[in-house]
Amino acid sequence: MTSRLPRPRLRRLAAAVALAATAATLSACGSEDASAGSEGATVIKLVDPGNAGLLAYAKKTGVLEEKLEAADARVEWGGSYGSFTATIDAVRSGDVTVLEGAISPAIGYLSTSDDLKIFAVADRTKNPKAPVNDGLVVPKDSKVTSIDQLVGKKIAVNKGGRGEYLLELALDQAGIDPSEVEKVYLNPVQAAGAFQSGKVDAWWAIVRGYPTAVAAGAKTIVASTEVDDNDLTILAARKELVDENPEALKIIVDTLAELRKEGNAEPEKFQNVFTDSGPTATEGAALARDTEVDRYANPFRPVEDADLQTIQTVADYFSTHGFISKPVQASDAAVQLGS
Amino acid sequence: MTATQHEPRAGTAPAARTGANTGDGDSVTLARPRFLGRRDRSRTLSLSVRFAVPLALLATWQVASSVGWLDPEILASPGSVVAAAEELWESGQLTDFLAASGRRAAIGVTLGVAVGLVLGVLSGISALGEELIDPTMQMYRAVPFLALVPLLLSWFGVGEGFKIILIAVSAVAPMYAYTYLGVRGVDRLVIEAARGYGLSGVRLVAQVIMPSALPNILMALRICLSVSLTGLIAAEQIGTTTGIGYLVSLSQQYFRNDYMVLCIVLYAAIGVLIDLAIRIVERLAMPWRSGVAAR
Repeated sequence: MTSRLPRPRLRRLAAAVALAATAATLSACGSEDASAGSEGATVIKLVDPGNAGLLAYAKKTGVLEEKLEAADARVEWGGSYGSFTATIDAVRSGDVTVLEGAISPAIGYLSTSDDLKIFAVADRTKNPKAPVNDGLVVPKDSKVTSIDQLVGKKIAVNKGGRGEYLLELALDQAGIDPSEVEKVYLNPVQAAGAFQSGKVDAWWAIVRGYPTAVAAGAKTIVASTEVDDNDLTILAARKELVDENPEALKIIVDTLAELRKEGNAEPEKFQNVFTDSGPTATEGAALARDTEVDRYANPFRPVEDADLQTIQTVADYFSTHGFISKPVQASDAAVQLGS
Repeated sequence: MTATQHEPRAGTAPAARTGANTGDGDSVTLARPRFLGRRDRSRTLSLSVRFAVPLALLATWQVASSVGWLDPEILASPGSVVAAAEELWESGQLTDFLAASGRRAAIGVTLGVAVGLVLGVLSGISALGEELIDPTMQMYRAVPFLALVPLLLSWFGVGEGFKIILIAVSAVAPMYAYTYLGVRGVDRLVIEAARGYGLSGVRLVAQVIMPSALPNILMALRICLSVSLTGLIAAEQIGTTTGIGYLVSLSQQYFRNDYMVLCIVLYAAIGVLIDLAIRIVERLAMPWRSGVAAR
């Protein structure tokens, strides 16, 4: 009952399989090597910016690459990540060296690592015409109409990030002890499912979760605009990049600030940058909302003295509320380019 | 003690009619074994039955969506899933994603299967090999490969290398375990007979041991390919812009239930294709199996 293949044929077959496997492996490694690029230049590794926003537009037009030549730096666009927190593994492994986020998740990261520096910030818009970015929502059929009715109820938040930070601030403002509600730690994707199926009573929805939940009928109990928070949008870079080529980081800040001006004037061209179809494409109400977000968004600027104070305020809040186990100093967490 | 006799069917081998003496001298007539027969099923009937349950599930899903029992936010309707597939197909992303995932899986599984096969054979044919390899492999087998993700990330980063190695790592354990069992199960008499004909070393392994262990090896391949889908989902959630796992992650980020369900359908379709491919390989590589199976 042995194989009927004659030996030479068997050998040829085995050799072909081995050759194909080797070739495929080499081609896989080769594709990585090919992107390793020109010698000497600083490599700025960015996440895939998706289909909308300043970075997506920059990727499409190649404007960052063009401007960074002056600082002997080039851009390497990487993979896609759901949030700042989801990008952390890639930051640790050095596959992402510059990323966008907010002070809150950055403080969470910096309490355990010191290899990241906030080098630019952008104020969150106070324009009343701008769409609300996030908020505390309850299901459409919920009887809850104010935050104090959530005492003893389950509230989904992302741990140590913007969701938990704003929820605690909102609870503080309402005079409710945070221990009186049951916080359920879920990332936005998990929280959306739990909220939809009624497994949690409320959710501090962030990023795309908030508009999606509201579009599906969820009621907003507290909007982020009603909370007096100190969070800023930030750009952070790995420490060695800050040491190696601060000039390149300054160019990134300036380029994005210029693009922001364009975005405020013509926000439409920053939507559906690469494709009008597929899961990343937006249309209808979502497209209109994203357009308005870009219309009123503020530009990035290098970190200033006042920003260090803001970062310290958030870091201290995180520390005193037990979100982080080790205090973070703003002077260690941020860098003032050119100083 | 006389057992019931069965009339032999035409063409069957004559059964033993001879009696045998027991210790107390009674004569015993052995039963003529009943021929199991060939149970040829109508191909149409077989195919209909095969597809009946999936089709019934699909119909229930469609009806529940149309009537409004299913909230589209909980489970998208079949229509919207088809529309998502069309949208992705027209933009060319579906083929790109499938090709990217297929390439990663092919390279990863090939590497994992090669390592598992070699270790399994070494462990199966040699006592020293078993002593050296088996305890470590049994420990390795007990570790869920997803637990290795953080370690692999820190060693290989988030690039293609990490993805391929994660899939390879997922394929090694099942390949090893089934190959080892298959090789251990090869009839000693067959090996002795082959040795009598002068076969030894690589030729003995390639021409006697491997073909005898082939059912196990193909079963291992089937499991490796299925497990590699899990590896793919895990690998493609991290730092990529292409692949089916990336589509899962995108549909979650953008809360697109239709695309989430589409991914599940795609994985199911890939699973069916894998099963079909292995069945064909089994039929081609082991033609003798069709006549000796239990039915």
